[in-house]
Amino acid sequence: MMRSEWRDHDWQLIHTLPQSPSLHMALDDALVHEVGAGRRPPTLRIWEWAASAVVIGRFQSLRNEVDMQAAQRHRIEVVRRISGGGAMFIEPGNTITYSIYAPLSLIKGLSFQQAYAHMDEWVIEALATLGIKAWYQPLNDITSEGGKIAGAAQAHRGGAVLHHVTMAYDIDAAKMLDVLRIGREKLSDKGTTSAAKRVDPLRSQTGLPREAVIERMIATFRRRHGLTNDILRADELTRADALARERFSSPAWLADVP
Amino acid sequence: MAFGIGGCHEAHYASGDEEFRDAHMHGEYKMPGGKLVVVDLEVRDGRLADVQVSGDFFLEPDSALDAINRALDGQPGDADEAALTAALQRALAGDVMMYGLSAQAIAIAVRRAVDEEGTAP
Repeated sequence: MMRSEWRDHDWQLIHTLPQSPSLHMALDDALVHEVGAGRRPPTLRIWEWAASAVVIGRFQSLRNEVDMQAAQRHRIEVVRRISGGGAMFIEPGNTITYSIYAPLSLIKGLSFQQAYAHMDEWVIEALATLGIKAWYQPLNDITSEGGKIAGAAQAHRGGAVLHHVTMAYDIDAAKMLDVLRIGREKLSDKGTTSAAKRVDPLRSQTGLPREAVIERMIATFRRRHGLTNDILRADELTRADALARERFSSPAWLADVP
Repeated sequence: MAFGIGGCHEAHYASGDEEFRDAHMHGEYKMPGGKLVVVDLEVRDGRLADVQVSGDFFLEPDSALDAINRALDGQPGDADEAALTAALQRALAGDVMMYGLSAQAIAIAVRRAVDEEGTAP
């Protein structure tokens, strides 16, 4: 297998109405399989959130990472995703999340470190056009002079790679610390102090609404790689709905690493 | 993929989890340039038991986590870092890929759980 270029593929965009956290987990699972099986062209999916969520990594301990009582108190849904990496705290409008489903050929021959950076070059460029000097910080972060912007995770399934990223637009740090068992030392390590009320590197450095940042990202991807607007097929949504119900909202999956 | 997460965790346990805490041991290690590895286990009759490795690392395929836990279960409680590393390497098939994680990092977290921390806070 030769390494493919971005322009070798017929990229599709899915950006739809807000969906539940468990459905987002299921869509990642379903769509990476579709691309791996060759039934769907490579796709960029921008997430919109219908509810607040904590999303923990595939290998994280639920008990060690999440205060479930605090999550219930704040009405936050806790879900486990299919990729590794760390926990993220989501409220609708506070982050920008996207997934890329690509054939493995796109990262053929690259090290893990190179593959992460390669998948997000378009984002670094989009941020630059918005006046943010951002760069990839191995292993899996996008950072800036104003602090960490995003964390990425990849998972390989069949012939495809899932690369998904959550970017901090404007996060309520106090609520995040209430729900996630993060060392306060870690927050200060990321360029904020434990007293900070917001983690808002995208909002504060662009001064733009979240939607405008997303618009610029989509335009940048389209110009670099080509991008056709698409929608989820009925059978994809049926499959994802079933996965969301049977797997991604099940206590067994959530506590798979207790 | 996290916000504010990646290493230097402080482990806490939900209050009221007394039974869980009793014989429980907990160790953490962040390998240089890597991710955090967490090990929760007990030592029963001188051997590692109920070993659960977790963390914000990357591992393919994901089923390799079970193989890692099984490789550590039953190891002597005084097995040193080299012996644990070797046991892990034997148990992991050639197609297992680790990013931000290594057999040695897991072995170090195990030794920290048993040697340094004793029971969890």
